[in-house]
This record gives sequence, structure tokens and C-alpha cells, in this order.
Amino acid sequence: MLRYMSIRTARALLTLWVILTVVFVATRISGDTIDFLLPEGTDPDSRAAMVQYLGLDRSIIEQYAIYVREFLGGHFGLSFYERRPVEVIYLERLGPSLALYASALILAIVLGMPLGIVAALKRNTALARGIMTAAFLGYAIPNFVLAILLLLIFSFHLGWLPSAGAATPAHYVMPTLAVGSVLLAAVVRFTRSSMLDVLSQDYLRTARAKGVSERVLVLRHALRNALIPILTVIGLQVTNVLGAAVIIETVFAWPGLGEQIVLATIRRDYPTLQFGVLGFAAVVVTVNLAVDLLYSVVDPRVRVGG
Amino acid sequence: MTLAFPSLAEADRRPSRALKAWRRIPLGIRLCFLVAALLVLAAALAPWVSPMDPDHQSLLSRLRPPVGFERAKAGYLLGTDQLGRDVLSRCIHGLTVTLGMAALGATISLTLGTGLGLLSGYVGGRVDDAIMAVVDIQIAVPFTLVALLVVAIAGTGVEVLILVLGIAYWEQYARIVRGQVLALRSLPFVEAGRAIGMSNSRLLFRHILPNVASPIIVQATLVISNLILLESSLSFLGLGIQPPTASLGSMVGQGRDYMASAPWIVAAPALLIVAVALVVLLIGDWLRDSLDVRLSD
Repeated sequence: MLRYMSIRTARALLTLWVILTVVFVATRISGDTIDFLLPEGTDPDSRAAMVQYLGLDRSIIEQYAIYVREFLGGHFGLSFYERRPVEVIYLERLGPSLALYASALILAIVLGMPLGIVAALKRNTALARGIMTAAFLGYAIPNFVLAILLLLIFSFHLGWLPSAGAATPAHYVMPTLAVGSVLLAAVVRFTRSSMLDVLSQDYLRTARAKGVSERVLVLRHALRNALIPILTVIGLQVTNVLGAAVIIETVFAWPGLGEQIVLATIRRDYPTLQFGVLGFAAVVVTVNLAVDLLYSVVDPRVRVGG
Repeated sequence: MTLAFPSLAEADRRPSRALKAWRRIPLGIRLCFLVAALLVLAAALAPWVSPMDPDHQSLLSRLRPPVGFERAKAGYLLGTDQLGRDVLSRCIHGLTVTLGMAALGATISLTLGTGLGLLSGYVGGRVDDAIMAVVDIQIAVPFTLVALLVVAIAGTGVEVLILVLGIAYWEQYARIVRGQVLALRSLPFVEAGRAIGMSNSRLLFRHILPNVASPIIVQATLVISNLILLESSLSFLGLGIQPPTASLGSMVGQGRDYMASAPWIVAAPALLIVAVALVVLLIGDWLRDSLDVRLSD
């Protein structure tokens, strides 16, 4: 057990280190970063002074050593544009992003699981077919296109919802839908198939024969057993949701992490972009690690494959 | 199973095998194939089928709505954009770019992923470890972010975009192919091949690869729809296809400023993206069912 956990943790750390290195190398091979930073027509002396000030005159190995040391020490660099630590910039934007992720997740679970259950229980009815068609559409329509279509209808045509910002609850409606649509669709689909699997099991027939009420049967016996695959799907979708949120935040001018990353890309603000990519990678790696370890606790067979 | 042989005359009247196969496909899916064919044809013949030059500006007829609305201008079926360009013609040319990019990216990732997956599964050992380590890393980062990083570093060129699309989803093929090869490697027909002295490459390409074809085809439909989405998102952010060339995504992105006054500029390409994504996914779903492929999602 301990061995499995330490191997998995070591692999996760190794993955993060490789990503750190790749990001470093990638930002250095792109030619002179300094050219993006200085205004055109800067005289050679000032340029040389700036190169020295930023430490870009040292050897690449030396730069890498400094970079890793500073990273481990919790210094992640200064934004080229704002001249303040990148972690501070992201920290300010963490709240709105977390709120958006959380509301998308809640939407997917609170709406998705009941819809999936209904689709499983009432299968072959018009209602179930309607739900599954909607789920397919939610799955097929790209997030940012959905965002644009929602904007066109609810902001510009009907004028019901605000089109940008994160000030009031009304601001949350469209971004939550746009970020959560694919996850919602996935939850509906997997809840349905997972419930169908469980509902045909013998122990449910036994429970029904014993006279367990249909309500208790579905919620206590079936749903509980269907839960594991559903949670797995949500775990697997984390990467997709984070990726989608980056674009959606830009569409709705949401003051979150994703909008900052896109802004950093457009401005070529490497320290900011680098920290954003590494931060998201760290989150995904940690989530996957946690899921793996949880599985190995729940189901000992997983460990053998290690 | 009857063994009656039809006479020649009878055989002539019978529908051909292809036609029979076509009729076995459900009606909805047949419709999808027709729409897909129509879209590909329109994209391939864009210069001939689009009513106007997509880049021709006519500043006197800017922001005209589609036919049927007030102020519409004859000849401009879907209206004009902020520079007086024909939205329909731009959509058709944008479709060419979007589909072309997705096809290029899909081909690159298919080749790369299948090759590395075969290598990983067949050779095993350190090669396998190394390739799977790269796969792990690729899974760890949301690819949208990798794409942003690459674009920030290498700039916004068509070559860069093709590179990004090519490396975006190779690991999906690699994982599937590797798993299949691992399962096939110890089956009797492969061992028999090895026993009669068949070369590795012959075994791999003539005997193992054909058995991996179905899951690859199914995965390809998923990858293509993902690539369409990725290209559209990047172009939408202004980090993909650069003007004056337009893809469907960049049309949506550039039309955003006019959403209040001229929603059709954005709605037309957005709905076209939805149509393309729907058709590809429906065909993919059907393929998965009919080829009986179980993919671990």
C-alpha cells in the first residue's frame, strides 16, 4: 500500500518537474524575450542594461538553476507588464474562477444526476428521449459557441442577462451554463448508463421482492452503487472543464484565472503565462493523484496494476 | 440461409452491395452522411460555389441583414459584415479552412499516435515507459493551455496552428493502439506468425494493425470534432487563423463587437460550427455502435 502510494506520488512529482523544465526550455528557445518587452527604438545601452538586470546574460544552465531554486522557494517571477509577483496576480483572480467552477460543478451534479436517473427509469418514453437528445446536444455544441449563442439570445435579443463581468448572481447564469454544459451532459449520460447497469442486477430484484419501496430502492440501493462510475467521469472531465473555462472566461470578461492566461498569451507576458500553465498542471496532476490513491483505498485490486 | 442462386437476369435487377449496405444504415445517420458530404463538397469547391469573393469589401452595403429582414440587400443571402463582405461566402471559405485544418491535424496525430502506440505496445520495456511517460504529461495539462503557450512562443502562423493541432490529441490514439497491441500480442495468430519466421514489420503492419483499425476509426471521429473545437477556440481568441483569411472560429471572434447591432455576423458561423460538430459526433456514435468498439472514455 505504502509502496504503491509512494510510487504514484513520485511519478506525479516527476511529471510536474518535466512540465516545469519543458516550459522553461520553451520560453527560452523563442528568441529574445527582451524584444517583446522593450519598446521599439530602445538604445543598445539600455537594452544591455535590461538584459543584465533580468539575468538573461547568464548561461542557460545557470538561468535554469536559478529558476528552479526560486520556484522551490516560492518565488514564481514578476509579470512583465504589471511588475508584481505573478502569484499575487493569480491569487486576486482565484475567487471568481473557483466560484465559476463550483457553480458549473453544482449545476452538473444537481441537474445531471436526477435527469440521468429519470432517463434510466423511464427509458423508451418521450421524456427520456428528450433528455438524452438534450444531453447529446450539450455534449456536441462547443462551449464557446454555446456561450456566444446564449449571449446573442439572452443579452442582445431579450436583454435579460448581463453580458460581461461577475458582479451579481445574474452574471453567473450564462458562464455557468457554458462552462458546465459538457460536464452536465456527461453526468446525464453516465448516470443513465450506470443506473441501467445497476437496475438489472439480481440484488435489486431481491430488494424489490422483499417489498422495498421504489423510492428507497432507487435512491438507497441503486444510486449508491451507480455513484462510483459517475464520480470517475466527473474526475476525468476536470481537465476539459478547466480548459473550457479559460475560453469562457474570456468571452464573458470574467475576472478569473483563464482570462488572465489568455491576456498573458496575447501580451507575451511569459512569467505570468508560465505560472498559469504550471498552476493548472499542478491542479490536474494533484486531482488525478488523489483519485488514484482513493481508488486504491476503496478497491485493492487497483494497486496490482500500479 | 438459403442456397438458391439467382439467375443472371435476376442479379442484374438486384441492388448492388454498396446500395444494400447504404440502406441498412438508419435514416438519421444517412442524413448525417449526406450533410457531411454536402459540407465537405462545399468546402472543397469553395471558390466555385460561393456567390462572391469572400474578401471583397463594399463599404456602401455594410452590416446588411440576411434576406427576409428589413434593409436586406439582394444577392447577400446571409447579409454582410462590418466591411460589407458577403457573410455566406465567408462562411463557405471559413468552412474550408476549418475542415482543412482539422483534417491536417487529424492526419498528423493519427500517424504520430498510431506509430508510437504500436511501438510502445510491441517493443515494450523502456520504450514503452518513455512513451507512456510523455502521454502522462500530455494528459496532465489542459491542452488549451499548451496551445496558448505554443502560440505565445512561436507566434500566430498557419504552420504553428497545424503543429498545435497535430500534437493535440495524438496520445488518444497512442493509448488505444498500445492497449490493443498488448491484448493482441499474445494471441495465437500472432504467435503463429512469429513461429513461421515472419518479420516484425510484416506482423505489425499486415496482421496487428488491421485488427486495431476499428477503434482507431471511431477515435478519429472524436479527435476531428475536438480539433474543430480547438481550432475554432484559438481562432476565436485571435490566436489561430489570422485575417484576412477566416475560419469559422475567427469569424465568430471578430463578429463579437457587432453582436448587438448585427447578430447574423456571429450567428451564421456559430451555427455552422454546431452543425459540423453534430454531424461528426453522430456519425462517430453510429460507427462506434456498428463496429462494436468499446472505448474507455
